[in-house]
Amino acid sequence: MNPVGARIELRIPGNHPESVRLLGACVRNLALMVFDAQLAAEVELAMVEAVNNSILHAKPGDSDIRLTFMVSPRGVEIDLQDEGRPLDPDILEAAGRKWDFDPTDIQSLPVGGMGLMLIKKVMNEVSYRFENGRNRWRFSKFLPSGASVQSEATRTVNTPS
Amino acid sequence: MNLQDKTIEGILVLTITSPQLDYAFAEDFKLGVADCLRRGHERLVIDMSQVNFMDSSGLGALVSCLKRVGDPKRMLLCNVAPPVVSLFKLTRMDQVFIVYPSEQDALAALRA
Repeated sequence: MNPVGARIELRIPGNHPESVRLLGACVRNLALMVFDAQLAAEVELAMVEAVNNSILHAKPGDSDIRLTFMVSPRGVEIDLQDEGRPLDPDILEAAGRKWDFDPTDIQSLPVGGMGLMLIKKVMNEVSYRFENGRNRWRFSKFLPSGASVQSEATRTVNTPS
Repeated sequence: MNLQDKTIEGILVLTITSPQLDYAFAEDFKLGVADCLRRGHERLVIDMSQVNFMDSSGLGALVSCLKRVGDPKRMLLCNVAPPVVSLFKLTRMDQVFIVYPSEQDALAALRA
C-alpha cells in the first residue's frame, strides 16, 4: 500500500490541556506509519509543544484546535490551526537563536522558552501565518537521506519477518 | 499524585509513576518533589523508568527541582527512556543532568 496522500484531521478543545496527551499519542502512532520510533517521537514532541503554545499563548478559548496530518512523498506534513491571538512572527524567527547557558551555573538554567526552539530543531520546515482570524502553522518532517515514503513502504513490505 | 517515594540509607528515591512528564503534570511534580525535600533530604534519585514522554514543561519542572537541590551530583536520574534522553540532548541539558542506567547505580554513586 502506498500511503502518500493519506490524511486525517484531529481536533481538541482549545481550553483543555489534558487532551494534548491524547493528541500527542495519536500523532506519534500516525508518524510510526512513516518513521522509526525515534523520529516518530520527535514529531509527537513538536506537536505537543505547538499545541501547548496554542493553548497557553494564543488562548483560543473553547474553540477547537485542528491538526491535519498528511503523508507526503518525502515524509509528513502537519497543518495546525487555532482561532486564538496571533503570534509575533519575530518570536518564531528568533526562537533558539539565543539558546545558550552555562551548564555549571545551576541557578541560571532556563526553565522555559524551549517550545519553539524544539519544534524548529526536530521538524525540517516550520511556517506560520495569521489568516482569516486563524493562526495557521505548517510543519514538515522528511525521511532521512532523501528516502521516499513510497520506497520505504515497499521496503517494509518486502522485508521478511 | 504520580510520584512514589522511599528512603534508602538516607537517600530519597522518587519514582515517577506517570508515563508523561508534561505540562499537565509538571506543576504537581514540582510540588511533590518540593514536599519530599522539605523533609530534610539532601540527596535524591529520580527513577524515570515509567516515563516514556517528556515535553519542555516537564523538563522545566526537572530543572526547577535541580535548582532547589542546588547540585546535579545530589540529584541523580536513572532509567531514562530514549525519548527523554533525546530531549536532554536537544536542549543541551545532557550537560547538566547526571543519568545512571539503574537505581542501584545511582544509589552507589551517591554513597561514594
